[in-house]
Amino acid sequence: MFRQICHIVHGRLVWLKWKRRFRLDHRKVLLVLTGENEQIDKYALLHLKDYMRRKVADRAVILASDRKIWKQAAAFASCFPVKAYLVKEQELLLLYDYYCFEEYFDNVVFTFVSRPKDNLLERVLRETDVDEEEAVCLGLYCLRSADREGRG
Amino acid sequence: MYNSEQKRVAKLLKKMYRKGILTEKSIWIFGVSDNTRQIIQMLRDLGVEPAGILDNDPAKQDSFCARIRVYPVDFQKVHLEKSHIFLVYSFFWKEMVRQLQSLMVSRENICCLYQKKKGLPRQFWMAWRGRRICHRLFRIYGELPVFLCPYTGTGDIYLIGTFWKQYLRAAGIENYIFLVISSACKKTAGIFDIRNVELLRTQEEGEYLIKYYMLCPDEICLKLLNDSWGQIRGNPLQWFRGYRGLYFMELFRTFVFNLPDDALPERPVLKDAGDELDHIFEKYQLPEGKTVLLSPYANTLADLPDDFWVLLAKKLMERGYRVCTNSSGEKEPAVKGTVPVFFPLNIAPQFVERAGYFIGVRSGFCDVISAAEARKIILYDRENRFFNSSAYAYFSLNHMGLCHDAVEIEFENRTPYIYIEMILHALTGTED
Repeated sequence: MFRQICHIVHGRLVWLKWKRRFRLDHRKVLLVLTGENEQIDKYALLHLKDYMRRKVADRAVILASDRKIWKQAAAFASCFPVKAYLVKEQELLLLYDYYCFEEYFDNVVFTFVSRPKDNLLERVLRETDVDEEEAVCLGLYCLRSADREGRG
Repeated sequence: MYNSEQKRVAKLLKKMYRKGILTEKSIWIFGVSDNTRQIIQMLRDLGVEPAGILDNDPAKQDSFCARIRVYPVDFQKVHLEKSHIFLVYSFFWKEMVRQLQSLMVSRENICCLYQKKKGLPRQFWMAWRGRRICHRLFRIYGELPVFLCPYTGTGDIYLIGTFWKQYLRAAGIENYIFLVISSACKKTAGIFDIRNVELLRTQEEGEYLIKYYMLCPDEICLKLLNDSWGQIRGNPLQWFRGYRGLYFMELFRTFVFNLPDDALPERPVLKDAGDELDHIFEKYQLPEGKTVLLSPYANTLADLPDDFWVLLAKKLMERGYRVCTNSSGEKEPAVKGTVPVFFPLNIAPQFVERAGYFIGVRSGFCDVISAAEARKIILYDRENRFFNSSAYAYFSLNHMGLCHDAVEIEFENRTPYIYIEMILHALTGTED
């Protein structure tokens, strides 16, 4: 148990560091692109504005640990008040494990589909008719529908 | 809302009531949910009736929540009045407050009743408490897999019971600990052959166990018997409820029990409850096969106005039925003119079978009595949504396969009275 406590505390330190660095508050949303499922990451970017609208936020910060994903996010970020940053994968995982243990920020979305082990999103995609865009809109962003026409 | 949380919110509302805040202003509650229903009940206990409910979901607008109309959040009349107070109790309270403020509602007229359990030390303390509970259970039963039902919904427990044997067989589990947080759930589990059912000392103990599991998933073999649970933040499954055919039974079958699509719920074998029933039927002077049990209360789904039940009971009595209400006490009083009856849930199906007739709004109690060989009429508000589908589509007893003989009626909540004749017709099978 002690080891796990240290792990979570480490995650909290990462959170405090990033919170300051990216000036995260309730006017911003934080999107963490994990690279677990490319399609999920893609639709998370496409519907980011919808999520911002739901959260009544006017800016967004995107984090990614994969350079390719970060580049995609950075290109997307030129469209509206969004900033994309490249971070270390280990820190990103620490942040997520801490988030799973204590919800420290309302406006954060991680695009994991199979982590932690109770995350059933991957099975939903595999075993049901739900597609990636719906998974993002309903499951991750908690929007009321997947509006394919009016993305963003 | 757990019991301790209910007490906290009730205390807060009482304080506001004493200060006159709730009596001087019209009360609006943001969001249709179980919590909102509980808050409405608390307000009613204080003699205060909310003016309306606000909700962003167009599917919920214009419907009723605990008999109060639901309006869109930008419903203009609401925000122009300064004499309105807005109660918010939701995990999403921050965005709700911001939305209200964006509609020019002053912050002092918004009252947030939600309180997040803050602080990392507290989270660790909760996990430590969970570890102690776990060790307490292991001392009694040995180190067995733990199944946890951290909710009070009897319908969920009933559905679990119908798949339980198949699940254990498929998963190769022989022994286990089955944890529930209410005695009603324990009674419901008693309908099935579920072993080692343990009632946790407090509802929060379930929360502590989950916290422990989230901190140390490798130290405890714990399975939550629900498709999705808020405390498990990484699992977004609940947001697909009712979407693309993912209804109540389907979600449990696939995602809780990992059973194939052809696995069907198995009805329980009802035990002989003759002596207990003799006593109850004699006590309340209920004629066998000529008694109608009314069940007008629901926690999750919409219900019907009192007048509707009074009129229905009157018509039933005129037709020679003895009418009783499933009443658990002051909070769920009997319909005026009917006999209040109370019996343990594990003999509820047998009670309905002997009574002969059942009429109720869709609630967990309907699952429990679904196996009864009786005339069962289940009422659903046509406009009542549950996540992405209608309540009827999501919870239909016949569709779930819990029974095939229930008469399920969807009613228009604005004109429920016109359904009385339909109900009488369905009950007797004759034209009236």
